[in-house]
Amino acid sequence: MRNTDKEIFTIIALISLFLILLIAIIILTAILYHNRKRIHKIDLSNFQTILLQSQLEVQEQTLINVSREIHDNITQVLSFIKLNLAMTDGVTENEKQLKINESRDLVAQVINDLRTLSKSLSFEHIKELGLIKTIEAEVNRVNNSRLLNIALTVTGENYSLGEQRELVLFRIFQEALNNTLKHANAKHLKINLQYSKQLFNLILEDDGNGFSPGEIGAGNGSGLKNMQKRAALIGAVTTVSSTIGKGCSIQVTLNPTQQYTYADGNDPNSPG
Amino acid sequence: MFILTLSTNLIALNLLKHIMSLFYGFYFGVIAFAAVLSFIAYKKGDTKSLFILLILVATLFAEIATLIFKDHKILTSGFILFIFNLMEYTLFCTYYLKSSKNSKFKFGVKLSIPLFIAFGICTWYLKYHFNRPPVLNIDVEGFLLIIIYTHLLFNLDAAENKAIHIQPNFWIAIGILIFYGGVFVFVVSYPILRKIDPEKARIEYEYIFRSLNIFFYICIIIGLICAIRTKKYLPL
Repeated sequence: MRNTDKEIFTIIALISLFLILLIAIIILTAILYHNRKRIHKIDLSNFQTILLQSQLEVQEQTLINVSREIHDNITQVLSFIKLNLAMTDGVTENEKQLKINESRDLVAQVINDLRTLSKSLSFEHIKELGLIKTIEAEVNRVNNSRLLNIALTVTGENYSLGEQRELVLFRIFQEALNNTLKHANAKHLKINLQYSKQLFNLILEDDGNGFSPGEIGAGNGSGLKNMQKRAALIGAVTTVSSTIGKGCSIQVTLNPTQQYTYADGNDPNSPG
Repeated sequence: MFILTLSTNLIALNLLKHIMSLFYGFYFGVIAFAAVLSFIAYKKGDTKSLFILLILVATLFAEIATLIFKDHKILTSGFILFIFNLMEYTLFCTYYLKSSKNSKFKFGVKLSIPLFIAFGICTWYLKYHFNRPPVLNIDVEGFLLIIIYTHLLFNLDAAENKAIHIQPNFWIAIGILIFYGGVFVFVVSYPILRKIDPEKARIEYEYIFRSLNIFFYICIIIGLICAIRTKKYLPL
């Protein structure tokens, strides 16, 4: 066999090898593409699970609040009305009219309270009212109970962050508020919602007992860990800073323009 | 000295024949095993496996017939290869049509079947005059199947949310891509190589073609095992 013939054999073998290599690259690309797609699906599925969990927790917390409200407020007022009406026997007409008027006002107040309560019973109110109004309603409820003095401020021009993001943010807020009420022994709580084009901040600062930063990882700090996990799911970052005796500050920072796994352009839940 | 050289050559020739027969035994065994698996997969409810079964049975017939005809000089292997080529392309396309959900691409594949048959008949008549192996047809078939199965590879059913390597179509696609990618240049250059050195061309053909063939059928076997395992866990 001549040298040129040998070269032909070699060239053909090399071209074949090159083609196999090319095919191998195509196959590897397909494997990587499918793996990325699968991870994306798992992320999406995890997100849906946490979102559903958040919905359930918001509902559970709302029911606890409603039950407390009925027990502490409505039942008390209704008992007072019942007592008031029972005392109308054997009194003068003027006094009777006074008690009836007083009872009528109290019934109106109860109706009003029940209406507010019924609104907060459904998860849909976050969707309807938006994050600010929902937080405002919660702040009013706590302020009325006199358990804590909350000051709410909103800076910047507010916009919708998307239904799902707002639900998760509300759940973080609810958890932070609960922690303050249960453990902080605080008298004042400042809530600040900051809206700008590139950034959204939810800041909660209390004047309670505070805690050492090491406690965040420990058993007591599981609520704070939960908040961080939830925030990460919507692309937000939670920063918790506290010193013993100097209160606690929780800041949730979010870039509203950033698209996350669940957020696609046509989805109504995407940031608006 | 001459007798020693002659006997050494004879021993080497016998050994080569023996290896070749072992090789053929293994080769046919792999195809037959794949055929049995495709039958089991079909019986378990994986209807697509019927087309793989038909391809494997046709392959076995074509391979055995080629050997017989070659030994008895009844017919040239070109005729068998021509019929097999058309059948194989049609069946692989049908398998793709049953596996894919992309209607536009499916329409293209459906259209390609009669066009390929027409092209095959014309080429075989005009270029190969009904007797030579239709190498161009095999290459066109390979080229089209590479495109079709690359599409399938990138569009595997992700809704099942499972790893890619446990999906039967992944292995079928890999087998087709590697096999046709590997033989593409060799098939078209085979007539030239045969003119240069017929013996070397034949040996290279045996080793390259058969090795890639075995790899191809092993991929099909893995794919069929995946299909059988998937069907095993599905509710009846």
